[in-house]
Amino acid sequence: MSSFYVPAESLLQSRAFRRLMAFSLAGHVGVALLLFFHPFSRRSELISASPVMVQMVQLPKPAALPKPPPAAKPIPPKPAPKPPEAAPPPPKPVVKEIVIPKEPAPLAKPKPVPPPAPVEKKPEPPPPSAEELLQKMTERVEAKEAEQAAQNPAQEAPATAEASPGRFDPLFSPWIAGVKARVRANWSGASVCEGKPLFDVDVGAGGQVSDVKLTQSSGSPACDATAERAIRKSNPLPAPPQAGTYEIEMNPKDLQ
Amino acid sequence: MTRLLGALLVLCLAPAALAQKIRIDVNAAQKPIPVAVQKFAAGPGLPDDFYGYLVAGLEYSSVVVHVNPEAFVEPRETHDFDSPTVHCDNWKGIGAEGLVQGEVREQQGRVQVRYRVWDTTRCKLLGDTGFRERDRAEVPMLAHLVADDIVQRFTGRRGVSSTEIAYVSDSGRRNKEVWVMSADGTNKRRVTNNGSINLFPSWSPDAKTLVYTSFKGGLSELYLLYRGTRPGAKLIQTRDEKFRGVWSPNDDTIAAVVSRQGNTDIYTVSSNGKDPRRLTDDRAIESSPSWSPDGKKMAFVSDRTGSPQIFVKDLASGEEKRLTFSGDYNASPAWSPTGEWIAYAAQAGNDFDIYLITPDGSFTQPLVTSARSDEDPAWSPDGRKLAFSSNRRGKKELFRVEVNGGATTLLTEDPGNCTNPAWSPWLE
Repeated sequence: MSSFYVPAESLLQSRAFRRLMAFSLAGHVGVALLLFFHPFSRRSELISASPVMVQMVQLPKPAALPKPPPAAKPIPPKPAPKPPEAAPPPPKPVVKEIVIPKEPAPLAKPKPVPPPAPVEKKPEPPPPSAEELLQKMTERVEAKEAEQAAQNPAQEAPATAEASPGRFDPLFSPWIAGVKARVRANWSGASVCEGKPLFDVDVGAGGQVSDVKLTQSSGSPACDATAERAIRKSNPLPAPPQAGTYEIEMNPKDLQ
Repeated sequence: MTRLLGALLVLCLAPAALAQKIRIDVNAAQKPIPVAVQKFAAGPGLPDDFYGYLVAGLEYSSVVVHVNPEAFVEPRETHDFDSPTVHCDNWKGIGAEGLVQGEVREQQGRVQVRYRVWDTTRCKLLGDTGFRERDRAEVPMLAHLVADDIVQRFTGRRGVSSTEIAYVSDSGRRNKEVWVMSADGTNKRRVTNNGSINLFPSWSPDAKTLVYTSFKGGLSELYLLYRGTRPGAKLIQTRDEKFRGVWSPNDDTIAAVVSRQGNTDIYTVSSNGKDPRRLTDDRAIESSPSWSPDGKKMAFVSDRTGSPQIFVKDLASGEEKRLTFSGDYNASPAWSPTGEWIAYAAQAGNDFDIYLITPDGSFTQPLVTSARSDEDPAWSPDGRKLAFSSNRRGKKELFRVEVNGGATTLLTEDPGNCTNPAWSPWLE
């Protein structure tokens, strides 16, 4: 046994050993440097992805996740009309982007959307990223603009820059984001809604809501009432860049 | 030149741009509606548990939540119901979007309730003043009926806290009896007591009669069971074996699974046992009928393709369409009262999970997928909840789940196994 024992001091004096140690040290430092620099970008991805992870954890529903769906796939012959939800990253970061993802609310409803628009995104419910939400919003607005443009081709088509909420506008976008966040936080009972009620809301220069008019019912008076209460409870809104009548669409479907 | 054109364009368009309204999309969060409930003014000697049942009934909806009375600026109890003054701002100030005031009285042994429901945000009375009465012994039911009505005023759909659930329990013994409990799992009582095997209760549309399967006469037969003292009766007198009866949601027709000359098919029969009609005609086994809410279609299970799958039959045209294509074993279809979904049990490994599928088959999604077996889905009449049986804790127990996502709640604390839940329609 003792023949294997070599006193440390004598080792240190050995040239070969010192060379070995130097080599080893260099190797360790090299690996450490590699570790430090190389995965740095990936680490930052991890960090940026972490909110998503948190969201997953918060899902209250045990149901949807664990099992491989045995009978779950949409039936082949009829592909579920799934609106394109994960489109390419949005072209322009907008202030809204910051506001929306911060809200914890979308998680509360991890579940299937209730009845009416079940088709939207059941199979795997990844919490929507800010980009997705923004993308959706942008798409929606653009679609509407396109519609309007189609209806009045002559004049309204290019009415974009000033008042279009779909693009970043230094004047309106921050305000719109503030309104969204505030009204959304005050919306209780949206789960009774199946349609999207639309309101004309008179907003004073200081943000005071002086009138809320239902311009398009969701089809359910109870739902319209939940939405109207949300708007009224949000009085005063953030002060708008310009007093006037604004259109607010209350959308129960984008919960997820 | 281009610049000039551009300037012209801008000039032309500027008014249009200004006229265009800015549209703001607001997305929803999942939050219940906070409603303040004042204790109802009550005469001397009146039950003071009314408030507790009322609040529990409201919250059973999971869409309405009551505001803690500690927070009230206004009185916690209704004073002088007949001359109401509502300070909406004081209710808004504590976060209440609604207010319930009321009065309870006793008149000749009947407990009478009057109440008023406010939308305090808009400072508006929601509908007429309600009035209900019941026997003294039925105060919990009375409170739940009031609660369900209030839920309707806020959500457009009546609450279900006053409904009941029939089910089967073996009570840890070898026989199985039919039981009935309140929707919250309280007030359990056994409604059959023959020591035999009794299965598959199904409610009549008025919730006053149950049809169920029993072996009490030796063979598998269908029987009717009435509320009150009216004696039960055998539904069909033929010698065929009958396995299960399922009451139509809107008339006196009962779908019956009958084995005739060795071939099991679905028939319909009137609740007086007359007018038998054959619905399915196939050499395979057809079973587990579930009516669409309008009574015009029926989902059922057939193994005609080799394994049990769910089919939908259009009763007018007779057309049958296969609904489920994934998995080797899909059973227990339950058509939702709103018509939007069919819940069913899908085998995954050795266990079952509960899935939802649209009646046209275009979309499927899992709803309840515990590590063990979840079976027997049964819808609440408002379509917001499902009762089901599960052995996730060992023996079979009944649970209910919010279809929109939300808690799963245990319904039965029973020494035995509980299965076959059947959620009643509204009782009045």
